[in-house]
Amino acid sequence: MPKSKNIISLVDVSFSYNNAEEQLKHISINIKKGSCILITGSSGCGKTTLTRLINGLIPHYYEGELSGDIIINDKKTNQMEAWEYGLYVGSVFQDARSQFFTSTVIDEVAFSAENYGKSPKWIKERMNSILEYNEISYLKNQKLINLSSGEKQKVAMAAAQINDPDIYVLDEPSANLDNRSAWLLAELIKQLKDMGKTIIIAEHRFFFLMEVLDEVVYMKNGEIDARWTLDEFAALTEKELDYFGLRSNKMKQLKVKESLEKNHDGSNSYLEINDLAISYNRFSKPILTHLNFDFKKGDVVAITGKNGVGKTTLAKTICGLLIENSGEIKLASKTIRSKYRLNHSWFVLQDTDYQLFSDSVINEMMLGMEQSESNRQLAEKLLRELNLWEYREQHPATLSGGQKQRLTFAVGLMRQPDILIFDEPTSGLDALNMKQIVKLIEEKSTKGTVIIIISHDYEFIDLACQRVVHIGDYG
Amino acid sequence: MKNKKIEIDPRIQLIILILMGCLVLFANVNQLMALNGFSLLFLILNGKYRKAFNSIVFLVLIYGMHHVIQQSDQQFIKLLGFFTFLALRFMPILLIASVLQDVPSGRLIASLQKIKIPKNILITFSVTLRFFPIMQYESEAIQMSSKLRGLSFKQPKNWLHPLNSFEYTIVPLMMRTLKISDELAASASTKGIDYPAMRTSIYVIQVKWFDVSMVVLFVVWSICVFLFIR
Repeated sequence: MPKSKNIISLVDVSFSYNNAEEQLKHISINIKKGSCILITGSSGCGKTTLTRLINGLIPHYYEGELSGDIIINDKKTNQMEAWEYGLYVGSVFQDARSQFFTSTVIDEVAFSAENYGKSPKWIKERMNSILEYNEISYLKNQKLINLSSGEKQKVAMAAAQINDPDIYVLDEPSANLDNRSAWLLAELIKQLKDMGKTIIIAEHRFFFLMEVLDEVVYMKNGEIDARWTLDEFAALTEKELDYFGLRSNKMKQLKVKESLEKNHDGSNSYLEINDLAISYNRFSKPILTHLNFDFKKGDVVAITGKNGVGKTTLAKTICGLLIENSGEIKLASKTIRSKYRLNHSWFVLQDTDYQLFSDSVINEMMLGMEQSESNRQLAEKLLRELNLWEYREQHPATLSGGQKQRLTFAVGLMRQPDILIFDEPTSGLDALNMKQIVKLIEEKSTKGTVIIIISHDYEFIDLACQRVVHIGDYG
Repeated sequence: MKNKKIEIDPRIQLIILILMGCLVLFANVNQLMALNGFSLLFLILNGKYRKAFNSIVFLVLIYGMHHVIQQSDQQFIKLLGFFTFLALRFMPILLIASVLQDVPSGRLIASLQKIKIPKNILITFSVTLRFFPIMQYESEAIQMSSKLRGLSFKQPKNWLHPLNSFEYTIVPLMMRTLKISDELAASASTKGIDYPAMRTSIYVIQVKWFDVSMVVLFVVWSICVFLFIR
């Protein structure tokens, strides 16, 4: 087959979900066999919707108004059954927890092949070679629930390969991955590409993909706004990327200073951590010991380290959700027990759905607070500052990802905490939302709040933090 | 696989589960304890020693409490007896179900497919079982954030407003569950779940002597329980 053959063609395709405004407007694009395409753009630009057209979730799972022609492998998709897509297209999604249908690694990898009625012997052979090829044979007898996020994403990639599809569609595959896992993912994508597969990736973060991409498609408001070849894309300056609201196309080296040391002038330190040992719960073995840090008022500090090293556990311990095994945490030179630390700190979780309880934005702000006039005024002031005031009567679940995150941030600020902790605040955020978070952090820092950020997003750390603490070994 | 753990055929487990479900409706407290005994044995045979041990401690406590409560004249305490009674009654089923829940989903589906359970029901069933650990994980995460907000029912000041605490657990849990189930179904549909032909499986499903003897043991045990324990 000639390499220049189009494997996917979209001809004047428009789509809107039921009773919603148009998500895709007159999209026409040809994708050549064996190419690797990045689809990017700010949140809500329609890139996920575009991937769903290719893996058949639209129109077979998500219903709506679809017009235009989609041709995959020389076949018009309106003549295809829902199950046919799975033979041509392998899909990987963002959230590993909700893309696994089964409970163990081998079940998950075999799942799709079993559905298509392949013989058990064939499945087993194919599975073994895929596990080996993806270098995850050592996970074979594992349960999915025990894997790290990086390992889960590898299993998801392996599961997508079982039927040997020609096309791979990846929707934000790196959202929960640390840099090392992201590089490994890129390597795997490169291998697939070398085998002649066509790969379509929808992503915000793409520095790790620069070696494998052929073309970049930039979407805006449901339309294709710009297209670049790799060379053109790599040549875009920071300013131009900024104009498009895109993240950096280069791997960032951390410019900010790394320091584990206590600051020895010591006098004005506000939050002190002395010889701390932490664990998942009071009765289990400590996972990290002898932690010593110092924070001054207004410090913005990033905590980095591999997936699973205990960053989140450390954060939970600092803010008092977990009790320390040994050591002490001092605030303004006084040792403070976990129960009281809760009153001094606020933790913005990675997954904001967990943190929103009420039926409207304004009630969310007032929840658990004294219903006083001053609190009401504070709530209004914060919502206005964070551009959420106009949504005050909306249900929190109807907000976008970035808005939800700002809301949990605002809810925390209602308590006027001395310590603010963020867990992966930029996962799945576009450049615009990221910069908004950076601005908020700067503002709070000038008011003297200690801000601790767990992140592996170097671009973000570089913008927001003054120093970095690395936990565990480098890798 | 070198793992020599006994794996009881999921069909057999399901049969035992259903029978047990019927039996607990008729048993009195002493008979219930004997049925609990069988469930514990079942756990141990399946290599769940830790869970078995925890359950023994729990059962002994509940059984003891139940007796204390029986002696009491206080209406309020009698009301508590209702809960210990329920706990004793449901434990045998929950314990057996906990083993079934740990069966790899591929094996479960393959096994149930053999008794001609329609695919739709089968898939629903296996996902439901898979959902319990997710729910547990999710509710732990929610508990944590409600603790941060001072809304957790683990904090005494919230005991006066049990309904509110309930709401603050249920609302986010519902939101998460809706989202996860939607994404899960979407993921399955990209993996050919709708393919009209019969599914195959990497698991070999066969009823072995051990499975049969398990049923026999269960039947004999139950008969003895109802004949000899009053």
